[in-house]
Amino acid sequence: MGPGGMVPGGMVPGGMVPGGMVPGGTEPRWPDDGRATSGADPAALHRRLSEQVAWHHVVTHELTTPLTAVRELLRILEEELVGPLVAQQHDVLRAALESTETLVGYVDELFDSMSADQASARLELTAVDLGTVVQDVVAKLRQPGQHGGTDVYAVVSPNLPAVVADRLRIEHVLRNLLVQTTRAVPKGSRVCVVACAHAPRTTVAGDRPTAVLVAVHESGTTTGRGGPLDLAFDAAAARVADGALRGGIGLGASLCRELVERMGGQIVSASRPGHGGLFCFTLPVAAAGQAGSRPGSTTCRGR
Amino acid sequence: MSKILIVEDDKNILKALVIRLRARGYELATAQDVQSALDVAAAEPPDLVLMDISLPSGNGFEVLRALRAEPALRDVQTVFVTASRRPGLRERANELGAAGFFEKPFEATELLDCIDAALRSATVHEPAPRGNESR
Repeated sequence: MGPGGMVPGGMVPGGMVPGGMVPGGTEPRWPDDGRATSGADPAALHRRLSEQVAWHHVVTHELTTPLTAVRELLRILEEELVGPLVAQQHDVLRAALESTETLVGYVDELFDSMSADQASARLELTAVDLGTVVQDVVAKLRQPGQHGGTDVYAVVSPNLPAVVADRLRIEHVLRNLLVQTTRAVPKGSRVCVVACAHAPRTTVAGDRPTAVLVAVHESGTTTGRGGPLDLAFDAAAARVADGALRGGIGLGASLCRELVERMGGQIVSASRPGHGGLFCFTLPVAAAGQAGSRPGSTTCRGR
Repeated sequence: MSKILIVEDDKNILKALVIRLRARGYELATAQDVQSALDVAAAEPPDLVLMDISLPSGNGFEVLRALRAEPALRDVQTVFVTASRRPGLRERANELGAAGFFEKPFEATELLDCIDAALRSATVHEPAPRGNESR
């Protein structure tokens, strides 16, 4: 797949999802965004959600602080900044650090859960330029203090149609997928975010894309190439969203799927030995009049 | 040797930062709340303040604003760290001219690199003359 054009479903062996990741020829499925609010007093609901979000902030803050201290002090020991260690002590420290990293992952998941209630609230669906969202999220992750050691970059196709989405929520989804990917890859890896137009397998020349696809993909290391993106797409095609994202990869991913599906999209994940992992999701193109398009392609490269 | 003031209320994170920065060769001062941060900074003006945002009886932004109000400290470099992920904190730090912003748990190598770079920048660039104070 080249970054510059539409991705017909037929170019993805087997299709993204059986039956088509983006149902061909059908209207995008609009989410039922009233399920959490029906019958509730909106002010009371808003107050309750605000209280819950504030509570989560406090809990995660209180967890993160000691966790930061534990990890830093263990690393200081491992780096022998306060004296030499014997091999067995290094082994013990490595085990402790491994468990600490696991805890860090759980705290990240807890942060993600802060959005769980928000996900149940009403979505603010508007026409969104997904290419800009991709670039913004990637730019934030490239700032110091964010996932050091991983080269994160974006490749955005030109003239992407606007999609129907809640911008804040989709930023959350993309950030979560990027965090999960960067957390899973070794330092020095490259992680690519591709945004391109997507059409069903039945596309013929001249058809308009029905969705925009965003793929988060480990694309190799800064010193070598990873597996072709098409292979990862192939692997993704073998796993529908239900199988891929339910269970095993965390609360954050479950929330991502809920959000994407409620915006009328689909999300899949896959991994292939030697070729890294892949998350991708689609969002439906906005109706004419809502849509805006981007004037040109932009690639931003990380460190 | 550059002097760094570390403002961090968690004593164990403070200890880790002291070990790392001392190993880097910096002269250090520490404070664990807003008032002591202001007192220490006034007594021993630092070249850089490494500051937690959430502090007892205040926050790091208040400290930075107070430092900026002091002629001797207004150009001090500042790097923020925070355990909070409330939206807008990074933007506020940028607006105040911070040299860096790190979420906990931070990567120490990145934090140290940022501190080194901020101090090099402060050394290379002479303080702006009065009347030309844009950052």
